[in-house]
Amino acid sequence: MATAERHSSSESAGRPRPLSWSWLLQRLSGVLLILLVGGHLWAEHFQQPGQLIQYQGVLARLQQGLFQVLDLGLLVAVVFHGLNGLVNVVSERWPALSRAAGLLGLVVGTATVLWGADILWVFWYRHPFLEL
Amino acid sequence: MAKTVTVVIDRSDAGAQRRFEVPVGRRETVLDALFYIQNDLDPTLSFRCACRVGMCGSCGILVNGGERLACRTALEPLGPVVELAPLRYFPRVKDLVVDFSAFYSRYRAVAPYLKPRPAVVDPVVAPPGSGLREEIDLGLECISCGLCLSACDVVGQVPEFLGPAALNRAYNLVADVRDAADAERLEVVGDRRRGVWQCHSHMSCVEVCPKGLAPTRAIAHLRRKLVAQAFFGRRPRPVPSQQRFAEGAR
Amino acid sequence: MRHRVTVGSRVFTFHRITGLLILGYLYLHLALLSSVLLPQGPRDFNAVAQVVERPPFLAGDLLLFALLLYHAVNGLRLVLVDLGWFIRRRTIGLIGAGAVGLVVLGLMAGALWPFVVR
Repeated sequence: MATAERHSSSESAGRPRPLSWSWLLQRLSGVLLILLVGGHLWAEHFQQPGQLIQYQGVLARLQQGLFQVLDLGLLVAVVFHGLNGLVNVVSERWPALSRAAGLLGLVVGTATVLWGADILWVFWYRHPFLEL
Repeated sequence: MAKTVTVVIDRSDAGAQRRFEVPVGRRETVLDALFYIQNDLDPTLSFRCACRVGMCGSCGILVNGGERLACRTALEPLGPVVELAPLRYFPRVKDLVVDFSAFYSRYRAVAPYLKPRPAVVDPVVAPPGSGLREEIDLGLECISCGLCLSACDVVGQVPEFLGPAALNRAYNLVADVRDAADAERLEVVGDRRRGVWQCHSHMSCVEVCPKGLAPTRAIAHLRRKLVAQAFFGRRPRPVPSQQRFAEGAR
Repeated sequence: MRHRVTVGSRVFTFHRITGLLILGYLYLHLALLSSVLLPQGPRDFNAVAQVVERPPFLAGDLLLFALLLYHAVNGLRLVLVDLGWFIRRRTIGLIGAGAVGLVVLGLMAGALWPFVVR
C-alpha cells in the first residue's frame, strides 16, 4: 500500500503533489470557453440582429488585435477542451488505449490549432481580397 | 386473506429468478419478507443482515434496481411486484450475499484509521464546541454498507476507482486536525487512475446513502486541497493546542 | 451487471454526447471556412451566408445553440459542484441550470427571429 507508516506532516516535504492537469485544465478551459464562445456567438450573430454576416465585417473585426487574440484563444481552448474530453472518454472505456489516445489527441490538437490559425492568418495578413 | 406481494429474487443457482408470494402489512420491511421466505418458503435462501435497524450496513441489496438497506425499506409502498438482487460490481457469494473484499481493499488503500500526531496524547483533542469537529461531523456516520459503491457507475467503468466510501473516509481524516497522515492520504486519493479525478459528480452516491452523507462533497474538497497543494505547497496544519482543548472543554 | 441509471448519470451521458457533437461541429466549421469560403473570397463567403440564412439552417443554428447551452450550463454546474455548491441541493442546481439554459435559448431564438420574418 502506498500509505507508509509515517506519523508526521513535516516529513512530507519531499512528497509528490499529485494533480491531474487534464482535469484542472478541462475545468479552466470550460469556464473560459463560456466567455469566449459566448463572445464569438454574440459578435457573429447577435450584435446586429437581423443582419447577415458579411465578409467585410468579419475582415474588419479580425483586423483588430483584440479579436485576433480572442479568436486564437478561443481556437486553442476549444480544441484542448474538445479533444481532452474525447481522450477522457476513450481512456475510461478502453484503459489500454489511454496513452495512445493521449498522444493522438496531442498530435491532432496541434494540427487543428495550426489549421485554425491558418484560417485566421488569411484574415490577418495575406488576404488577396483585402482591397475589395 | 391478507394482502400479498410477489417478491422476485435473483438467485445464484442456475441464474434463476424465483418468485415468492409474501403476505404484507403496513409494518413489514423488505428484510422481513426475506425472513418470511427463508422461514416458511425456502430455507436455502441466503442473505446478510445483523442489526435490523439500519446501523450495521449488512443488508444492502438492490430493491427494484435501486440500492437500499433491506431493513430500512418498507415493503408495501413498493407495489405488487418487488425485485431483489445483489449489489452491483461486488462478486456474488450466494443469492443476495456478496463479497466485500474489494470494498475493504479500497478502504485500506486510504489508511482509514486515525494516525495521531505524536504530541497528541488525549485522543479527543477536537472536542465538541471547539469548531474543529464541524467539518468531519458531516462525513462520520458511514456504516460501510457499500450502497454508494454499487450506485457509482464510475466504479463500473474504472474498477480501480477508490469510490465514494473510501474517499469520504479519506477526506474525513484529512480534515481531522488530530491526524498526521494527510500527506500520504492526499497522495493516494490524488492518483490519476484510482483517485478523485475520476468522479463524474453524478451524485448517485449521495442519492443512495442511507445515512444522508455526501461523498461528492468530500471528493470536491479533496480535489480543491490537491489543487491548492500543487500550486501553493503543503501547508502544515495548525496543531490543536492544549489551550484550545481547554477552551472547548470548558 | 447493468449500470445504475439515475438522473445524474443521464445528465452526464447527455453532457458527453453534446460535447462530442460540438467537437464534430468544430471540424465542420473549420472545414467549411478553410475549403469553401476563404480561398475564394468575399463573393463566395457572402453567397454562403445568404444560403445559411434560410429557415432550415436557422433551425440547425438553434439546435447548435441548444447543444452549446446544455453543455455550457451543465458544465458550469459541475464546476460549481466541485466548488461545493448544489451537492446536497442537487435538484435546485439542476432546475436552476435548466432555467438559465431555457432563458438564454429563448433570447437566442428571439435574436434569430428577424431572419425568419424578413
